[in-house]
Amino acid sequence: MVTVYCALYQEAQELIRIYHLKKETDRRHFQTFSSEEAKIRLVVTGVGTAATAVAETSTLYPPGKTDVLVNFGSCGGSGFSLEEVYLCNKIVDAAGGRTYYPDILYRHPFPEAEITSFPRPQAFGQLPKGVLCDMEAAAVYQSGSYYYSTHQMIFLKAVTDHGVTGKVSSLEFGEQMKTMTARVTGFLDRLREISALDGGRKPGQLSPAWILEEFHGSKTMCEELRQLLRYFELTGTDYETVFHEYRRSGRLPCDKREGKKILEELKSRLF
Amino acid sequence: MTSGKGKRYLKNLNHDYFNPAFTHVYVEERVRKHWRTKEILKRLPHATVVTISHYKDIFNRKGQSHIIQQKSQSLILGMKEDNFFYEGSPLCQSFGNDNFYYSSCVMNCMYDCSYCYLKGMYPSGHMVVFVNLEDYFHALSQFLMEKSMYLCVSYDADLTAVEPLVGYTKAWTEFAAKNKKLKLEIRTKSARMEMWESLPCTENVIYAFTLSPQKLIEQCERKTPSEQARIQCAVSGVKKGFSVRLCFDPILYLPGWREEYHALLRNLDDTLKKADICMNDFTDVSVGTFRIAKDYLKKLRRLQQEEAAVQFPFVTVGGTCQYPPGLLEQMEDFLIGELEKRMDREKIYHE
Repeated sequence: MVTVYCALYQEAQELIRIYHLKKETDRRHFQTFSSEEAKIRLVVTGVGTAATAVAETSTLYPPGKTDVLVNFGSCGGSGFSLEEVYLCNKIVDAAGGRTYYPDILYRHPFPEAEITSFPRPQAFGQLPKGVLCDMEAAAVYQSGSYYYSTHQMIFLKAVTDHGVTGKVSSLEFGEQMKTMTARVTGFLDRLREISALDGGRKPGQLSPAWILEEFHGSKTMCEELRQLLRYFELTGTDYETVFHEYRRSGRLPCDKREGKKILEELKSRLF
Repeated sequence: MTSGKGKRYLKNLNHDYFNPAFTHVYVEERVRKHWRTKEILKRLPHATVVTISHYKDIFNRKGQSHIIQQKSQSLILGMKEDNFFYEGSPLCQSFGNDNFYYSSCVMNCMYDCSYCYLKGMYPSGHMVVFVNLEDYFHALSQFLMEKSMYLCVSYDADLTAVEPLVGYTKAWTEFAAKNKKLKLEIRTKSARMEMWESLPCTENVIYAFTLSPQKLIEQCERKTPSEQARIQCAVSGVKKGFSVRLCFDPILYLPGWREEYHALLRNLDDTLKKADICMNDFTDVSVGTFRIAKDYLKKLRRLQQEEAAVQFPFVTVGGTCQYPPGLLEQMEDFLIGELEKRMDREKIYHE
């Protein structure tokens, strides 16, 4: 699943339309839209509450190894072209003074830039040169890093201004974001493909439960058995037939003493 | 037991999704203007350069995936401040040399061997290059004024593999050529034939080639050159007068290991015959089965749950995980026995 976090509804609305996302009515605090089919969930975080939105959503829907977090939204940038979308490779938290580096492992079509997250809007002329500015990337990274690996968090920022100069109408802003959303959907589609891939098995999924249930031994012996079964599984060795035979001959379920013998027999089959 | 159920799960994170290696270079602010930084960046003209305060800002971040990072390695250029040398680990062979040390001027490898201890040791899959190599040389010169040193410089990386980018094999070799109290080992799985043309030929630098059967290379040593390419490169070095060591270390278990190692030795015999040299023309040969610190193996197993090479049920002896004694003896005895048929016993190291 790709989970997109946008601060404002106007930043999200075009994605909601393109991917036919449906509102999750049971979410109380943050507007959430999703489509199981499209493998996208979108959360409108609000301004200043991004960290909470990421934590709440990630706790409700714990991400897997191939899932991706995307922070998409508008930003200011002195010296940057308006309506260009950037992928952030360095995120500075202006309030906390910490710097974060998301891994850029996946191919992408965007120019890259550094971004500084400020706690309040920055006026025209106040923006540092050559650096993008927003209000939530650092918070999203901080919170997201509890749930996602460094390569699973992607920050896409569209330059909408060179610093706040006056009030922009909601409609006007929505239109601006609509144009820029069109530029990110191709990349989002690739991320959806990645997130749909098999993230590998989780520990303990390998061996049939009955073997471990009927094998009684110390904790160390059970761990040894688990490791042996994992290895047999990976090398394509049919150990289940052997355990069925143990069962038929009455050696399973076993006590600790018999368990030791079984372990030794299994080890002798290793090489 | 019969084979057949084998569920080899697909590792389907297609490589097309990933950036090629070194599209991103993280550079410590303080080495931004270092001449070697400029040289390296010149060789990566399309890379995105990100300035950082300290290499650990990238290398030691929490929540990194070493395995995924290895699919698209970034380069980190930094400065090593101290600890230019470490005493050799008891898990490594000293080949009878005193003052056995190793040095880490590059951390992490561009190859991706599933059993590699670096995956258990480092929190990141990205590669760190310390650009202040001259500081290493300075510290080493001080040491050499008092005593000799046997120094392995290519343990925590494969320096020869990244030679076109970094040039450290040449720098180390040139330093060793001027300092005869230094004996250098440069271990590699690479097969860069052209290196023999550019490196000074000096007796106190040993190029140590790790040899593995082709089947094992395909299963466990991703991105490395083939068995034949490594043999050819090692043989070519001997022909040109370089000191070359062959390392059958680590020997890894795989079903049919005896036949696979037999085939490797036969291939070696054929290549030597064609080149008109013999096994005794190598400086020496090392033999050792796979062993690894318990904590590193624990991490390797967690990171690579589908890799049989690390999921083997090893036994733990004094904090080191190794093959069960019966198998370990079988494998080492076999290799040593076969090598003894081909070369003098005193040239075969096994500790």
